[in-house]
Amino acid sequence: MSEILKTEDLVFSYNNGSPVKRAAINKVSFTLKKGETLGIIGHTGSGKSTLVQTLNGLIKPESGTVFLDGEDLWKNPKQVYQKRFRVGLVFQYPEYQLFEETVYKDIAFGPKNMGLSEEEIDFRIKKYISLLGLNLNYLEKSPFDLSGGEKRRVALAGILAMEPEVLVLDEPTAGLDPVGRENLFKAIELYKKERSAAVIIVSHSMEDLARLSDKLLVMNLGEAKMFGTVEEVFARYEELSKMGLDVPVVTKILLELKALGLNVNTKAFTPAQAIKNIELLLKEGDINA
Amino acid sequence: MLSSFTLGQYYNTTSVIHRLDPRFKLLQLIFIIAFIFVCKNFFALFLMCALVLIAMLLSKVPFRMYLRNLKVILPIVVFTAILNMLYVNQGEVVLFSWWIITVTLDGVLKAAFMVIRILLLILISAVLTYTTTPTELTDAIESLLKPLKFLGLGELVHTLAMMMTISLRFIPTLTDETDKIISAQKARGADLESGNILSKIKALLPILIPLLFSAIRRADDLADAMDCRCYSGGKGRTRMKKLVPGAKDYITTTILIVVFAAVIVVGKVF
Repeated sequence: MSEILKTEDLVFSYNNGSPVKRAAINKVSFTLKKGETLGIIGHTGSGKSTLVQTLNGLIKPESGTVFLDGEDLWKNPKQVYQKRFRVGLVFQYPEYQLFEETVYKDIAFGPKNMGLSEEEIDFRIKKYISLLGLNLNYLEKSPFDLSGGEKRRVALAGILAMEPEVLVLDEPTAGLDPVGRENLFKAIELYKKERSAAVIIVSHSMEDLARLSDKLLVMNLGEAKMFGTVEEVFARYEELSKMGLDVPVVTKILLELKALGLNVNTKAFTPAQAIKNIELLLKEGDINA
Repeated sequence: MLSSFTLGQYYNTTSVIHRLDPRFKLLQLIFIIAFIFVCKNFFALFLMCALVLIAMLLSKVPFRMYLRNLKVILPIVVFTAILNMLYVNQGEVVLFSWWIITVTLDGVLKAAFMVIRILLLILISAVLTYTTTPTELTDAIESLLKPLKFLGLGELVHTLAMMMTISLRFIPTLTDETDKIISAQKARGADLESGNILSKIKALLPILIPLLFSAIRRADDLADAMDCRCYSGGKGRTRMKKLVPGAKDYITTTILIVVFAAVIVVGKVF
């Protein structure tokens, strides 16, 4: 599969030119293929949010390049805003950006800015509101009358209706209950499959990222400390914990078992994998420790 | 985008002026401004110049900060100077005459006098805002308006002061929020720059509506939080940081009174 998004040595700092200058991101590089999911991990203030805003041209990097489908994002600065339809960015708490009188009009905002035809917009709105598991009669409601979880889904539908090739989500599940979280992830997976889109998820939950991601990017103090497959990154759990980051709980349990002297395979990041590894251990029958 | 915007212009350092009681500072400022207008001649104005200069030096705020303030009002200063030069036509010494324009020595002097006055006004006000945080100012206003409680307006004064404090507190929060909403709508392809005035105003709606909504939501939350902490207005409320005037407040006030007396005397004698 071809590379859809690639960054090379991105650098950006806040308060540039003043004594309190602070590098928000420093030499960040990664690549993302179509149909892949990249998880971004890092502490608050590690530069995750700045990084995602460079990907659709909301922030212009001081140096370094973002390549979208092989083309420099800033090749023609006047056209950058059109790239925002191809790299859809869902901010943290996107429900606070809703503003129209009806859900229908709000979802239509992005597609309208793209200059799509009325029929196409209508088609997409109905398609994506259903994809997010909301009934069509929601379309005539005011977005301000909905519950928090419903608002979040409407906001996400507003981005999906632009049908971006790269979907970037900044902590999409913050403040949602477990059911809301599952529904949201299901919708994202559905969208990804259907459009063979690339997805980038910023999250604090190692469990969620382990389950959803193909690759992980670990950010610390503005630098990309690790970039690799989920297995590669979580295998370096000692470095991760030095940065104050975690590995999934199930991985931690296996690591503890191993520390107790059991010969268990610690390469498991979801409960299902962990159960398999423990069953294997039980079969081998060397629980005599 | 909006992050360069700061309300007030407090300059964080420690100086005598910074440590003055804000109530004294505020009253002193009012009297200094009044006496800048009382000045009848250049000698009196010179005294005020010296006073303002000393205040600026004592504040330990760099002079370029003050210059920045002056830059903003430069057009007004130039405009006043030109008007004064052109409209004051009495006096024998004609410096310049062409068509209907006559500039006399008196006119130039009058213009210089006005310009110095405006500069002094701006500079002394800047001394106050550079050395006093908005919160201190609010406290000072509340404290100075206390006598109104004898008119039965005590609760009103407290309410006004609380409103001022809350709005000052929320300006940075809402500035951040505005930045976020602008970015979010831009990510949906909102075009905020191009188009005529009407379409520009229309383009602001996606930003203003969520912003207003969130301001109301925050106000609601804050009201609940204040309720939970049993806030019930100003009655019986005590302060953690009480304003207590010290020796330096009385000393500066005495110095000012002497200068003011001198200004009056100089104005009469010369």
